[in-house]
Amino acid sequence: MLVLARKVGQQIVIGDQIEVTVLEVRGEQVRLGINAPRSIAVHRKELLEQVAEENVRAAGVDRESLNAAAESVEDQDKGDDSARTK
Amino acid sequence: MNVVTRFGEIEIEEKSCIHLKDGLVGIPQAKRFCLLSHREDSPFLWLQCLDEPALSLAVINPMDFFNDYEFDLQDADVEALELTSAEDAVVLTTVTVDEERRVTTNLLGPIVVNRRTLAAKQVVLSSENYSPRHLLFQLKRQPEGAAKEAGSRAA
Repeated sequence: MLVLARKVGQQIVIGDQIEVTVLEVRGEQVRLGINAPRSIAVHRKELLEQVAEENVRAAGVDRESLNAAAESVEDQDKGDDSARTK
Repeated sequence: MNVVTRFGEIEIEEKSCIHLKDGLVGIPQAKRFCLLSHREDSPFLWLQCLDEPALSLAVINPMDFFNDYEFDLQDADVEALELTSAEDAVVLTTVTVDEERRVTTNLLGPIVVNRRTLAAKQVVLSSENYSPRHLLFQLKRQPEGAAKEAGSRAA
């Protein structure tokens, strides 16, 4: 991993289209400004990891659980219907 | 064409294939999918990967549950999805059932499908309003017998 020391206001350049600016350092938190072409996705890594984890979990749902979930939705719908007719 | 899925071999029309050019987040090799209905009157669907038969994700159309779910797409995503009108965008969100039998959906990482071209992309929203585990509802506890049966199958 390349390690660079930067001060507030200083920048690093990645390739010829991406600029990262250190905007503020307060305690443990660093605020960064990122200039990149709109075709380049910039994400907080933990959000990507959360979404990846949910994909794996959704692929692990078994048919029985989904059947139970569908039945629960049907029951709720029926409950709504009977509430409406009263 | 015939494809092998988690649920056995099925026949699907090639033109109904959904194409995720970048794959799913964390599963980039999974690019071609089809949508299988779960069963009659069920709001759930299986997003079945055609590249990996064992990969099938439980999904919903979140609009069936939340009528105020909305987000902005980045220009690059609009381009990747070949979208010319917001009305052509169909949204799917993945569903999970956890150990506590909570049924949740991932509103942070929706899968957007262009209903006309079937180009699709999973986007990660920067909005802090949406959770990757938004509660849909809580299922009743599994009967003892069913839990034991699952345990004995593993053993």
